[in-house]
Amino acid sequence: MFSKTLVKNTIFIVSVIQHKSAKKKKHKTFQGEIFGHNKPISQLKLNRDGDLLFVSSLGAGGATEPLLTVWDPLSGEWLGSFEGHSGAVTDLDVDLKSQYLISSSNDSTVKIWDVNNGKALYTFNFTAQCRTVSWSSDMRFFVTATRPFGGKGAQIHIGENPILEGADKVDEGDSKETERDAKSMKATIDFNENTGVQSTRVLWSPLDEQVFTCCTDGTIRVFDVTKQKEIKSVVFDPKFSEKSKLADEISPSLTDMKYVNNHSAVIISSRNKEAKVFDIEKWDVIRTYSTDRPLNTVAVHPTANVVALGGGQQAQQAALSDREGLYECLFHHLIFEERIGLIPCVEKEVFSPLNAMSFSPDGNIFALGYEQGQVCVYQMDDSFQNTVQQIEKRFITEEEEEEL
Amino acid sequence: MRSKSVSCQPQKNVFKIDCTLLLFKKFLLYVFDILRNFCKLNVCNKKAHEFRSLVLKAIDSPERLESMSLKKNVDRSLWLILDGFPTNADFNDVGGRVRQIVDDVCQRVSQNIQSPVFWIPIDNDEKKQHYHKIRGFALIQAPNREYASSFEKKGRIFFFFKKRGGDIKNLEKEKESVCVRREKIKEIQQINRQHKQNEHNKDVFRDSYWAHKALEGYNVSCWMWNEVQEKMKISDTFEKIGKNEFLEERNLYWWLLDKDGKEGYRDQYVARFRGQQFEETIRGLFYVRVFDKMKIIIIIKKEMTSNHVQWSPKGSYLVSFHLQGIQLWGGPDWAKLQRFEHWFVDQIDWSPDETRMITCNSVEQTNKDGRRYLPTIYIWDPLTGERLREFTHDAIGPLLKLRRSGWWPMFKWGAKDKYFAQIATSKKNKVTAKMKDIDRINIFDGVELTRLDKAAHSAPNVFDFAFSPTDDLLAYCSRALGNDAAKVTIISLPSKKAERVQTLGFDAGITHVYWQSEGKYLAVTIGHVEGKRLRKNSIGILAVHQENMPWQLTESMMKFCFNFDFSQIKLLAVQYLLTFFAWEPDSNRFGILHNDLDNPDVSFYQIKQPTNPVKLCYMFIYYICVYIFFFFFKKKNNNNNWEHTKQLRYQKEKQTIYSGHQEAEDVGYNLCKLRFASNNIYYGYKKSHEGAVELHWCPSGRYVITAATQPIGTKTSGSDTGYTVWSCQGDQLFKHTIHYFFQILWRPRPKEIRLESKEDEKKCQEMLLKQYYNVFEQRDTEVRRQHQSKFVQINLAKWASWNSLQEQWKKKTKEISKKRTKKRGFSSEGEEDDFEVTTVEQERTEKSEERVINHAILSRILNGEKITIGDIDEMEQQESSTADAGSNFGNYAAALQRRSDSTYNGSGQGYTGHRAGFR
Repeated sequence: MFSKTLVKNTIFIVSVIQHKSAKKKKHKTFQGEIFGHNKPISQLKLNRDGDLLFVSSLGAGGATEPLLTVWDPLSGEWLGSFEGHSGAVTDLDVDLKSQYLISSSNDSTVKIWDVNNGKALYTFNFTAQCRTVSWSSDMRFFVTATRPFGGKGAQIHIGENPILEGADKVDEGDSKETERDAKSMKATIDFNENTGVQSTRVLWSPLDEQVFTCCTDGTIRVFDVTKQKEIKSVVFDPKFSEKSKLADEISPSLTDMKYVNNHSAVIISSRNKEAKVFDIEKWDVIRTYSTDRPLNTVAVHPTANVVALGGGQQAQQAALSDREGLYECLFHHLIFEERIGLIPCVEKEVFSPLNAMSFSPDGNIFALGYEQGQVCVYQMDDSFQNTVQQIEKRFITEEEEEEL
Repeated sequence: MRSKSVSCQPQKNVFKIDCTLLLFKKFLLYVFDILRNFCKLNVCNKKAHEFRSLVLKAIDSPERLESMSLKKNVDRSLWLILDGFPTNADFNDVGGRVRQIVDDVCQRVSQNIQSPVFWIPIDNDEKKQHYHKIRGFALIQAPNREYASSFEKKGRIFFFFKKRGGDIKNLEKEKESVCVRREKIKEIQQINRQHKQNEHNKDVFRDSYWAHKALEGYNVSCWMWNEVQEKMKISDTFEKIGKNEFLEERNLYWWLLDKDGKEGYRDQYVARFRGQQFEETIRGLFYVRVFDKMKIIIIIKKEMTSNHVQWSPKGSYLVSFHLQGIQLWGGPDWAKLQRFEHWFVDQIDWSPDETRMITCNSVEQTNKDGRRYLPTIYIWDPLTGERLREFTHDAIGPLLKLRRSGWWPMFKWGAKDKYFAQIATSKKNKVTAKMKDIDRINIFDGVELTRLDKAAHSAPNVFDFAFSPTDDLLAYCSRALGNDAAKVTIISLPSKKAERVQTLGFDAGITHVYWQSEGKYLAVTIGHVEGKRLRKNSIGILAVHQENMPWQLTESMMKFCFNFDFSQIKLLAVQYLLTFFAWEPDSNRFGILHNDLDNPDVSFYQIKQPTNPVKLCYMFIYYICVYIFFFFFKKKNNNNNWEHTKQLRYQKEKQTIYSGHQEAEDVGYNLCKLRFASNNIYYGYKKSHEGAVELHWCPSGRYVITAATQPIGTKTSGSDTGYTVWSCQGDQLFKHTIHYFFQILWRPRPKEIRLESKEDEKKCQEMLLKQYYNVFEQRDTEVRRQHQSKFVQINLAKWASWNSLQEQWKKKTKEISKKRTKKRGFSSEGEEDDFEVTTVEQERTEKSEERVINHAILSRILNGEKITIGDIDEMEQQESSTADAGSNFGNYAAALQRRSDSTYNGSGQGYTGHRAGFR
């Protein structure tokens, strides 16, 4: 119905973001060819102040490849890299004060870094590859999920933050890296089913009582931390059937999970071309956003009612069919579920699926990480929120379209 | 008058269906029912009595007699011969009574004194064989009484039919009446010659041979017992079908009518795809989607065929192709309307007014039963399902064999379906004919389907021909061959008198004719050949409606000369060298595509008085792989009224195959929009649908469909097959991806009614403006508002639900945030839901020093402590060990410095930290 207005809006938003920023040269794309990333980017995060951009990549772990880096999002300068992981870095998390960085890796370790000097403070060794990691809100705990390995199913590990335990020790003693085993974990929780399911993202509940994970089989699992049990499993799309799977790229796998609206709801993206907003307590579906591409990542604008969705065809298939792989970043309206705009790929540079996205807390800076290793940072124009509000008005009020 | 039994009657070729005959047939069925009883229960007089009374009751019902009396003018010279009826001693009683009844009824029906029915008795010997085996009987329509009576003496027709194939089952298979022809008699003679060697079959042969000779050219129907039983089920009571009911059912144009205040579903299309539930076999699914004013309605999904489908030219029927033949669908309930048996049919053509349908199986194939089907063409009446004419393989063989481009439709139709014509050869051995042997045109009468004057019109070296769309004129052009110059000839019909002959020169190797839609002009495109090379092209125009039909040739377009090697291109050259020509409907403009195939150029010409074409513009058009261009022309007088003229379409030779794993060829095209504004053409904008192979214009010109389809029968499907619907402004309305998507077609509409005089047109337009303009406008706005308000209400509901949710969440988050701050132990980091911006500014001192500070100092500054440079020095000394930066972390120190610059030194704007949410 709104096709006409949509087309207009698309052009409008894009022009605001791209043209103006291009004139000011504020938006920069920086490729990892020189000293950055050359491999798929797994996670991106802007810190709370919006002045540091942490990027992790799935590099093969060679000596020359920095896997975990910090950038200045505004100027696009490389600030530094955190060296120490010997395998692909799968996920990262920063605390509120931008002091401590935690990262999980395929070398089956989780490391805690000092942001100030780039040194590894602690290393936790596990038996299986670590898929995701997350700080709890009070910084006392962290959670990580491991892949199934050696007959064991996937597990969720909850560890205590050693910095808070002995903060004095670290300050006094030499800043050497201390290693710890998986046994030192406070809790390890098994999945109820041992079927090779992996969890892709982990989130703490607002009061750190529960842990949510989204998994590759299309379910969301809820774990109780105190009881050390899996409480619930929610199916993302009950109608998804294996028969409708025509190409490899469509699978029930869930890819990304983020909080909406002050930790009151959760948005989850799926390879099944959909993203949904769930209530945390009852796990009812509140909104669904359907697109034409398998989704890898999702982000919610902190102030405006905008959801950013990204993904695309796998690079191999896109190369075979020799056509555009639908790699644009889509903007949907949070409440009305309709698409209201998009950010096109930077021409002649980006040909790969979107893997990670992050808004700065004020919503002015928007970072995109691609499969090929590029990171694009966009600065939203001041009129962005106004335009979104104008679009909202169009959705609600009856207006006769002026014929051209 | 039609009765219910008409629809059940399969044999339409034998008799003209009228009431009397139907009655008679039904009566005969009764006779046979009784006969069967006798065979089982032996002779019983009571039964015969009962039978008679039953029959008389049925016939004497007043309604039937009424209907009979209505049909007084029915042809009464009907003579019937009944064969295979036992009339021996055992049946004497019954036979006599049956004969009485028959005579009785026949007299009532035909009011003829002499009995019109003849019986052919069965011999006693044969009686023994067939005593209990009466399986059917033969019914023959005879021209006169003498002919019929001759059968009574000599023939045993039913017996012959039984013997002919050697097995009675063959008869059962055919079921239809047998029209005996010479060829068949020859076949049967051959069979009988083999039998002749056996002495005891001599009689049989004699009889059957005689029967063949006698039956030649007459209609014979055979009734099998199974069939008879089916007929018995027809109820005796006569039911009248109301006229209105009948009309409503068969209203083929229901989709154009406004009904009950709703708008008709005028924009329809059919999409052929495989449903998901049919995994194993490929089956058809029928799907019509209607949208008007942006509303989308799915009407129907129906299984129809596993082959392709097609619309009839006016859009009244949907044609589905099957192995056995063709099925027509139509009406609001998509009922099966007519069926045409034609094995392996693959081509179909209609006359413009849908009065005739032509089918063709162009490839020779064999049935499962081993029956061979040579390529033949049939002409049908789509209303009655009658087969009107047959073109055998001999007649159409050479054209099928040559199969030059545009071989189908083989017949071209004139105005109002009056005439149709076909190119032919005079060579005797027609199958081995070549291109140069084509030297004549067969012109047929549209009603009687016979050639005019029963002879072909000789036209040496004819290359192309076309009927005038308005007048009874036929134009054909020949190419130069040897010493003959190329010519354009216009002949008037039916006299075949040449109205105008124009020579085109000795180098015109390729010629085509194009009529303007009003029949005013005839354009001739000429390809000038030098040796084997096409040197240049030119266009000639005949103004047909003017006196003496003046002729004008364009200046030879050397600019667009083609450099193709003629020998390499061969037959394709016909299609590709002269890329495209099209008239704008009802105007004096035309457009051509020319130049290189890879970079085609478009030119528009306008005819100025008298006939000199003037070039309007010349421009380049985008190209990717498949060239599809739209042209929009704006009419000068009507505002906001866009009309499409023609779609120019070119496709690569290679057909693309879409599959999940195979490499698909890169195909796609751009939509380019051209506008005509004060004779300046400019691009609107460019849009693309990747992977699309097809493009279809809606007949109203409001929508365009681009589709990515796959060939019928492929077992894998790409992920991107589907179609997109665009508005004529170039906006994308919606998009559907369908897996296993084969075909899509717009439903055509009947042509506009053309008023002959311009005054009438003016009157009509005034009427429309005065009376109906406001009504239609109101209706449009109502529809638009309804549609809008629907969506607005949905959106408002969403908005409300979200707000209520948010309020709930706010309460919870306040509680949670308090707990969290307790847990966390520090409350300096804002936990408020609302945004808080803290700006820290410090004035720059005159002597500024750039210092590197660490995070701890920064936090202290942010907390509002006043820190001097001296303090920083002290702190740095304390933390010198921790501030030791690694070599790989070199830039980081500088970055932190920059970070501190903006905060500590206060470089104008100061440091702003935004906080939102918990983190």
